Amino acid sequence: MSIAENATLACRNTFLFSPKLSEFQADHWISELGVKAKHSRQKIRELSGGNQQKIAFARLLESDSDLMLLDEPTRGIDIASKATLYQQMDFAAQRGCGILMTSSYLPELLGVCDRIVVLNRGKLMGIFDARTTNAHKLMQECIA
Amino acid sequence: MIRKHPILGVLFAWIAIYAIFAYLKPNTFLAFDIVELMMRQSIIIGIGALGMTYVIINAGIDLSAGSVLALSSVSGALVYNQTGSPSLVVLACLSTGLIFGCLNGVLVSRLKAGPFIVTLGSMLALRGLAKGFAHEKTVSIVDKFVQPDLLLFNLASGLPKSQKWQLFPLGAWVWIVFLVILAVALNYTTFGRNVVAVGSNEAAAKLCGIPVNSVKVGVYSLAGFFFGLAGLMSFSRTTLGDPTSGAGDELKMIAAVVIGGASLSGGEGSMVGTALGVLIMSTISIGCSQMAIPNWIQEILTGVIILTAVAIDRWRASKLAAA
Repeated sequence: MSIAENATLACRNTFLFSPKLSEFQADHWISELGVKAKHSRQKIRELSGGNQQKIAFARLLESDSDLMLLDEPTRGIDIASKATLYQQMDFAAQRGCGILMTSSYLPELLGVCDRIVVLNRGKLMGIFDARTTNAHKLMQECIA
Repeated sequence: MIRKHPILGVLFAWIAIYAIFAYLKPNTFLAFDIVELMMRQSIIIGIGALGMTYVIINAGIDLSAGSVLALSSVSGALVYNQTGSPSLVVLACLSTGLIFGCLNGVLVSRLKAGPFIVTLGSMLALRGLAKGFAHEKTVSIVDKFVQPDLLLFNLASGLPKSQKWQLFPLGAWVWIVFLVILAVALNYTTFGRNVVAVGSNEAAAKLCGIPVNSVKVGVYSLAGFFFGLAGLMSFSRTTLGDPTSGAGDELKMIAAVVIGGASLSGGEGSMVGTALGVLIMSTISIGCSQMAIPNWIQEILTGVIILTAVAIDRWRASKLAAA
């Protein structure tokens, strides 16, 4: 499937599907997220893993959801693109969208989140305010 | 260009095959009559292949097509013998197809046993059902209702002189109209796009909130409808309800879809490609019989063309992956 079809996969409940409109929407996200692609009609499997990840994220943004579940959203993405993704998550949060993300990279969590929940072997170890906690404390809970 | 637009490759292949026969036998192959014959011979497989294309793009397969076709033609014949009403026959054939297509769809999406096994089962069961309904013999039309001039029995037959302006018999036009509708629906409706999405990656489609099971039921019902319609055409052509008809037709339909550029792993394929695939097969069959080439060579040729189509498809896929 093309980038355009993928980016708009989750948000159409109308009977008709407009390729032109979905290309327009996909082009918007391609420039917004800095996706490296020739055009929105390109097949998504021709993109690199990181760029595919960005399109998957664009699909969430395009669907205008109230809650996003992000599982390791920045894995396999280069540093510059990570910043773009964080920025877009911030925009979404300001719009009132709740974001629940999991990550195994502590600095990322401390930088992005408001609150951090630590789970250790299925047990809730505590809920921390990201502004007052630090990596050391979180790590202690993780290995406790 | 051919790499980007696989349909052009199929089109060129058809033109090439046609050109070879036209060169060998110009008097026959440069006349319009042969085109009409080709369309008439393509109707049954062509209409069935419409539904099969959706199934294969959806990463499925329907082996019960030939059995549904037979069941539809038997129920058409039985209804005609009871009522003598052509419109009820059409209704019977189409609803037979729709009902058993829907049943296939429900089984495929619920049993999770893979469409190959599920439709293999329904292929055998429905063939048996068709034979049961027909009491194990062909259902011929009762004498009081024999009307050779009725449109119902001329959907796929050659046109008389006075109606030559129609170019093709009604059945061929039905094929063309549904071809256009399905091609548009595949590209410009959410359902069509969902069919492709489920076919290319079912797990991802499910996570995107696409109702995977309903899409599957829809696809198999749609396919059943067209197998039923193909059964109507078969009844129209033979004026018989033959419970053994259409055996092996499912494989011809699948072959046409594959020649037309679809991938059996799903997510790819086009209606126009399939139609060209059907025309390639009937060009070979008509060409060989016009040249008095024996049947066995014709079958070898068809086999070679399918293998070539698959080889080209694999080659194209690996080129794209490398690019």
